[in-house]
Amino acid sequence: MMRVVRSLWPPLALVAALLLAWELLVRVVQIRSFLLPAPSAVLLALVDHADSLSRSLGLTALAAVGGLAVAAIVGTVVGSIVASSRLLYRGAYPIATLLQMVPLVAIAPLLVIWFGYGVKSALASAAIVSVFPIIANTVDGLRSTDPNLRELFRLYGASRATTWWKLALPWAVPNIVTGMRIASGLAVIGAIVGEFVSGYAGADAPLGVVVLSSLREARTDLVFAAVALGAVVGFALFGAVSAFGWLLMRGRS
Amino acid sequence: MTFAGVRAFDPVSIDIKAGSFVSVVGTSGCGKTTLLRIAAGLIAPSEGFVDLGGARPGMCFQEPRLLPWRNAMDNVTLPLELAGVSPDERQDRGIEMLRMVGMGDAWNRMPAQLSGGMRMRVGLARALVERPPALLLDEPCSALDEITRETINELLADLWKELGMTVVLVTHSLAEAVYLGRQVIVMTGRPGRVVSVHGIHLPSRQPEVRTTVEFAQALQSIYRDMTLPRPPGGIAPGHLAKHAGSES
Repeated sequence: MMRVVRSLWPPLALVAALLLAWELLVRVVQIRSFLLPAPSAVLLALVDHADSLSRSLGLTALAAVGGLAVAAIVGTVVGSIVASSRLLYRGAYPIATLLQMVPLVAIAPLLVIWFGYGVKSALASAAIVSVFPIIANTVDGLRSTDPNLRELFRLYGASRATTWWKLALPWAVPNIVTGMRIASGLAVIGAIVGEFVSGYAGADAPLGVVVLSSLREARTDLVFAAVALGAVVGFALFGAVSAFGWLLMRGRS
Repeated sequence: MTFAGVRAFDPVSIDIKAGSFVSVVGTSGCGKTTLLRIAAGLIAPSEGFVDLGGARPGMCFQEPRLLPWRNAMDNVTLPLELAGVSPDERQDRGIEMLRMVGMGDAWNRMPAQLSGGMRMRVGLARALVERPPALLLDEPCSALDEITRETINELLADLWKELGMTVVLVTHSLAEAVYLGRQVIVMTGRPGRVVSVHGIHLPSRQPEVRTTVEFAQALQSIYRDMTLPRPPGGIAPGHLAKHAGSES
């Protein structure tokens, strides 16, 4: 417990100091609130719109978590297929690396055509951006399996499928978890970009739509509130993935 | 036998009597490990064959090769699991084998919680859990300290007496080879060939036997057959024992 406190207080103190400096800057220089709202104004907006914002948070979290889950499954399966043959690896790996360079913002409008308006498109968008780091890390993990242990499985006559399931996949778990950690932040970004193009406004607006509609109304405080909540989803997802990884890797050296 | 384009062996023909304990020694690169791998079926010989009567041998490597995400029990029962043995039977045979190697109380410990010697015991239990007719040991003690090596050697001797399987031990340590083996095969390298086969007849198999003249003589005759540089002033038994001990 003491260790947690000791490692947490420096960043927390720094964040508090920055927020305080921001608050003072806005008050002393008298920056108009639609340009840059003070942290206290953002907090007020959060409290005032707690009901609708929590629904928005739920929707965005659903898209991000769903997208990450889909990416984890698809990424592990595709990564396993790519790593299973040298030819496939040499063919697919450069393509996968290149595909990462495709600007998702440009594809996002297409997702509406494929998946319609609403949470499905946001989920697909989250899945697409977060799948590549998971594929890349899965491939790296599977290909780094200790050749000595592979030999052991060969000695016992294990099939390729058994070797994958009982040796290569557990061996790759630390890499897959690392890929999922990177992907957890990307999933939130993907979800919000998806919402920009596919979200409904109104009572059931996700955070991405809250950002857009609040901007139109010059409610910058609400924009910041939505962004802060998006960050909370990202942190929570990262924490959950880290905890999941810790559970999977307990007891290993 | 050629290996990666290099002729690894001159024709090698070794007959090993079922149930015997055979040590194989030789300088580095003489092909003794390759020979063991061929026997295990890990390398296909370019010509010739290894006949183990159709059964798969157990094998221990230089490293224990444990899966870090499985506890001792689940590591030991891995061969049974891969062979489709039921979980209940696996547990029974696993705990029996772990007890036999003195690890009965540590069945649920993870490899990271075990010392080098304990990991080697678990590796041995895994190699024996299928009760193979032959146990192949590829320098199993080379990474262990002197004291641990001693206890593992005692364990090997006990297991052999109890289970009666054929043991082929590849080692760098002449003292280990002579102490454990009833036969010592001396190989020399590039291409590998068998130089000589020594029958080892010691007055006893207690640890103290290593200070006897018979033991020193056995060491000396094997040493002569290997192409090691001779120390100046001849070989005294004491020197030989020390030399053999510090080989790895």
